[in-house]
Amino acid sequence: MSQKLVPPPGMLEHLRKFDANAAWANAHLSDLLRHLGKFVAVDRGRIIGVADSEEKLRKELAKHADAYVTFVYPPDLAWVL
Amino acid sequence: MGRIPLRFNEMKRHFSLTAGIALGRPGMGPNASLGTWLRNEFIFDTGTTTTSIAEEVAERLGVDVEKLALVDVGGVTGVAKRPFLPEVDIWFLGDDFQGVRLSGVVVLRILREKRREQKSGVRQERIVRLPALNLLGLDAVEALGARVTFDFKKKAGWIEW
Repeated sequence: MSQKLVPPPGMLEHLRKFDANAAWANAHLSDLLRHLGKFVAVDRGRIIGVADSEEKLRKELAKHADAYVTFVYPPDLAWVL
Repeated sequence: MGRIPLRFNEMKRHFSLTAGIALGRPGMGPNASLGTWLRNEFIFDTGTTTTSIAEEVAERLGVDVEKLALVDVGGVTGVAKRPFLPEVDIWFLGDDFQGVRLSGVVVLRILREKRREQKSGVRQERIVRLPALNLLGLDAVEALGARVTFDFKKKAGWIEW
């Protein structure tokens, strides 16, 4: 195991909220797919923003620090990383 | 003993996880302070040896990406020079809140793809821009001294040690 790092204050709580938003988005894929090719923001069980640009969306959501923002990819896209 | 759950991402059909990311070293740009950190989703990629972050994430950390040193990165389309951000801290959300310092991460550029389309009888070509991904690589698992389990039947996975 590597050296023990001290997390920034409040990080754990914020990560939990962000993770809950990511889980909601994952469980509501059909809602996200209505916005194919766009960036979507999710917070507290709803989609709170949609935009063509992530930068624009994040500016609009300055008060939603724990929102989960994702690009909506085509579901049939083949991935080779 | 600790365990970090991996979520099966239904859209990308990858295993992903939530992590916090912060700079481990100052001086990466005028706005890059040590206190700055971001929440992020990482795709866990067993084909990645060096954890990688999207250019947009590096910029939000205040990093001047253009001033970073370039390293050779091998991928499915060949070898290319990519910016390398040294000393990055990543915290994982699991039953034990565990952080590791990586020696550095590769910064991935926005993906661009040319698409040809037929519109009103006119052939058009447009550039489609897709955001780069955050890829959690095997270096992070090694730093944790962990093992990884994928359960495709349950669509679940774990990094545990």
